[in-house]
Amino acid sequence: MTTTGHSIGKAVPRPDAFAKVTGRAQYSSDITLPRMTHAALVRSTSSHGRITNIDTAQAEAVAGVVCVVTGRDMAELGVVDRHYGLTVLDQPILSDDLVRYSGEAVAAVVAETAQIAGEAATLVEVSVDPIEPMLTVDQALEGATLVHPERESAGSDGANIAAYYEFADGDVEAALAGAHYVHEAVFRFPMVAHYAMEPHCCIAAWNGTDLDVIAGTQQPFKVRSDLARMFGLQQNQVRVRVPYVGGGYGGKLLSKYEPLTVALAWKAKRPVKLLLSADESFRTISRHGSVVTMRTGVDADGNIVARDTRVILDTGAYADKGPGVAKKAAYRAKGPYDIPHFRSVAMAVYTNKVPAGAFRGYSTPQVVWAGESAINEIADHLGIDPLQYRRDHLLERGGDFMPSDTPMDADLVGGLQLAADGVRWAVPAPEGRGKGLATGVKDGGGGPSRAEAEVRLLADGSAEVLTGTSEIGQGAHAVYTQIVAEELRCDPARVTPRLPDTATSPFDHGTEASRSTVLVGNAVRKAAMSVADQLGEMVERLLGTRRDFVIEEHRLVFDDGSDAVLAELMARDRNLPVTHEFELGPIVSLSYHDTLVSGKAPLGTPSNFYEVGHGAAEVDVDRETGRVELIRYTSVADVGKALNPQTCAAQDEGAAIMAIGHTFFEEMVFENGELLNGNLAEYRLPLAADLPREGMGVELLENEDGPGPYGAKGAGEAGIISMAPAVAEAVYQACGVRIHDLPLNPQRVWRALNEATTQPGPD
Amino acid sequence: MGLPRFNLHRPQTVDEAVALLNQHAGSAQIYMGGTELLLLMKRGLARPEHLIDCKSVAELGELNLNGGGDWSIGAGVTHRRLELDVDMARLLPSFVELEQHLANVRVRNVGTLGGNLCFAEPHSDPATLLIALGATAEIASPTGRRHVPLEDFFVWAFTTVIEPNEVLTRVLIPPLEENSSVRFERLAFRDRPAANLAYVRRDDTHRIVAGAVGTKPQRLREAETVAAGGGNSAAIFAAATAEVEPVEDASLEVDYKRHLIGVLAKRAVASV
Repeated sequence: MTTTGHSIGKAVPRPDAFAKVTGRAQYSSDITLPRMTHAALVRSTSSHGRITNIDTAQAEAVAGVVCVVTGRDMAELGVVDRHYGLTVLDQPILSDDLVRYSGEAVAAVVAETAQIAGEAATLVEVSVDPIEPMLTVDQALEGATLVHPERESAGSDGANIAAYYEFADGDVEAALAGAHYVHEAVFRFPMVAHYAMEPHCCIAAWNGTDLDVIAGTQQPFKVRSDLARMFGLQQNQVRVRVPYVGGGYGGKLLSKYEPLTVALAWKAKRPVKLLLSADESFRTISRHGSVVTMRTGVDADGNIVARDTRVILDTGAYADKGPGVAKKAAYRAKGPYDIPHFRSVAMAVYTNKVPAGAFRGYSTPQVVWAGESAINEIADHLGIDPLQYRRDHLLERGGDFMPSDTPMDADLVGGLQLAADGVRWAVPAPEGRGKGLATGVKDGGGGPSRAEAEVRLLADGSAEVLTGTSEIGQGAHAVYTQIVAEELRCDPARVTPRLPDTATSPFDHGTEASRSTVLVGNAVRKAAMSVADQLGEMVERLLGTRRDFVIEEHRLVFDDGSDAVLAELMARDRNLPVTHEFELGPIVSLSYHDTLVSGKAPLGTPSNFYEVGHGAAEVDVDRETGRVELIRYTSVADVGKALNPQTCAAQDEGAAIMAIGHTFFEEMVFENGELLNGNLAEYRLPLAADLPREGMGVELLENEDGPGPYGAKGAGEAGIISMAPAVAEAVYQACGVRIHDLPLNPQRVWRALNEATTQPGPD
Repeated sequence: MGLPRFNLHRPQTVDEAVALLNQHAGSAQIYMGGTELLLLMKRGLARPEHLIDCKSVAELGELNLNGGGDWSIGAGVTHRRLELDVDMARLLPSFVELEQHLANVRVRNVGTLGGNLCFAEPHSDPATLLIALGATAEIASPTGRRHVPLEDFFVWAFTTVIEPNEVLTRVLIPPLEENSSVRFERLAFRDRPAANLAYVRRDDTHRIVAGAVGTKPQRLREAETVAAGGGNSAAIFAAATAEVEPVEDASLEVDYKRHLIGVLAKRAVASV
């Protein structure tokens, strides 16, 4: 391993920071193409029904309207396959038979301006023959009606199951029957919104038979592949460019509105921009609401002998990433403990609601809410301090998170201790206050994937790094420039990251699963090392000996203090006159990193690493109103090596702040399938005033034990995992009530307090 | 969706504004800060053909502390001006503190007191306190000005006594005696309050007003009687919870709102 320190591990300013804080950074919505038109969508107000008619005549008559598109146009437009998704291709560009949720797009208006399109869209009349909607997972499993009648239920547990997974070992029923104590509870987690600051946006233009798409997507190569398949094109006919993206959080993975926008551009015969409002993004994708039923058995010594988990995830009207979310829920439900007998079942169930997909942490916050609450309650039952209980039972480094998978690569107890220290765990909380903690673990890096990167050292000593990573605000591109600078021994400010363009960028699976720094980062490092090697060999050829050097602007500065102009060296090496500098071109390397595949691993690929988030909270509970105030919170992310400590800490802090939402107040509220609070006036997001009164602490655990460059692990999701169970335990310590449903809003806490004390009221 | 089309009028006087309203009755709206109206228009929930922008009407922007200690607050005075007014901070600190917590600074910079009251969103803080202070609304109509006690101003959620051809011109707050006490309590779980309560004691009169839980602010007369009789916290709590008339909304249920008003009443009276 190269010794680090040139730029790795430093809070190097991000290359995108200046453009972003001065408003110059370009997002999809900022881009205008020549002859571009604007689209507005017509959304169903019915949550389930059969479309009997869509009357577009009035909208088409509006001056400035170019065309109106419905599902009936798809065949005529020559769409080969109108459906998209990941493992389950169930989502149509525009449905022409069933509507499956209130808010689903059923028609689109293309017009000269967004204003005209929006006004004309209100004139489209959609007639729907209502079908009884499935509004809860219980209702859906009973299956009075089917959300996707053409699909068979994926499990025998009921109807409307989109995907079903089970991981098990040992004999869980026998072990529970023989346990000294069995803790059993049902934990609920609300459906919540991603709310990325930039709503979904896509621009599509046909150039002859080639397609040019600009989109705020986390997965440009997946979008390219979908568009090629759906529109009968070769992949090399589809170009997807991704400007800066104003937040993703998983809500911009897979295809979202790209296929629709392409269809609109086809009918309009002009470029089309579709820019959603925030309200519409609320109606596009969400985090799965869940019901987790968990039984955990311990022996007389407190050892966990068995855990049985059943996770029911509300996946809404379309599968999207739901099957993967369910799979990982089953995989992660057991938690970071050595449990000989376990069974984890998870299913994604269709309902007539906004679809649910990937969301920061995937299903980990949902299963950790159950699993770590259970651990806290078991410790309490046994009369053991919850920190001590975890010290005794958390997996040690090298232990099995799951059989035949990557052994635990983290010091869990050490990390949790840091979190506990952050809230002064050993000091008892004053009256009315309480403390709690939790440990959350997810496998990081995602499934099988390829990551590629290209590094170019130009003749003037500047460099470019090309990847397929979307810059969604996370700072991955800053890290890439630091890796290149580290290997080339140059100033990271002289390295420019290039935003994804499928026509020119190296391939990448997608910006998700905390994989970019580790997997793409490894590819970047390999490419940078190769460029450094080529440079070193050139120097050796010219000087007759291997020399150490750094790159300072356009010069190489050698270890003895002498220097040489890079372009002159390159010219000499190629026998070109130095006046031909522009002919020199770059020194280039394209490298890749593939994830391992193992038939034995439960997921088919061993975990790349474990993304570990510990949380410790101190809260104050107003027993009269039920209001819980966060006094202190410490999040500990085990990042292996923080390549840029500032962005790393900011990522974890952002994740923890996001967790304040689902822990305390966030919840998508539906009435008869209609989303009641799908707008920023009524949907409560975390505000600065919600931050812990005495401060939010973020600790980065750096043991250089990750598989990424310089020992890095992925980051950015850990902070969202553990807050809810840590806070719930703190609430219990403060006022003695156990709550198993999120969010812990004042009304819910007050009700729990009421049930606990027979005499509600003052004093 | 963006804003739908509308015609913008910019009267310079209250009379001009009233004339415009009269001319376009039913299809015109007074437009000041726009913090509520423009949101409704963007969401297609309001489609006025005419917006009458009264920001240039000087009279509406007047904020006066009169010689008798009474206040005259023009309907167009922004929350921010009230929040930063030094005389108000000295004489009505509860009102200033209320304004400091109203929505957020961007809203306070443009949102007006008149707009807040005329919109009659039930989750309003100023309405609750102003009623407890005994404030009066001055309303201009085509036939002249009329005065309505703020207590009688609100009819229902989003509905006031103002006719389509009338303009709220000012809010008048009577002077507070030296020994009076003003207390405003508020609980907010989001931008708007979940429950609020004002308690004003002047000599032997006690006014308690509950807000944000029902369709409009409500005088709690039983609780006032208990307070006047020197009743203890439990009695105040009992009276307030018994008489308050909350309505359920998307996030809070009636029994919880009732309880919150009891808690706030108890706290407000105890703190005076």
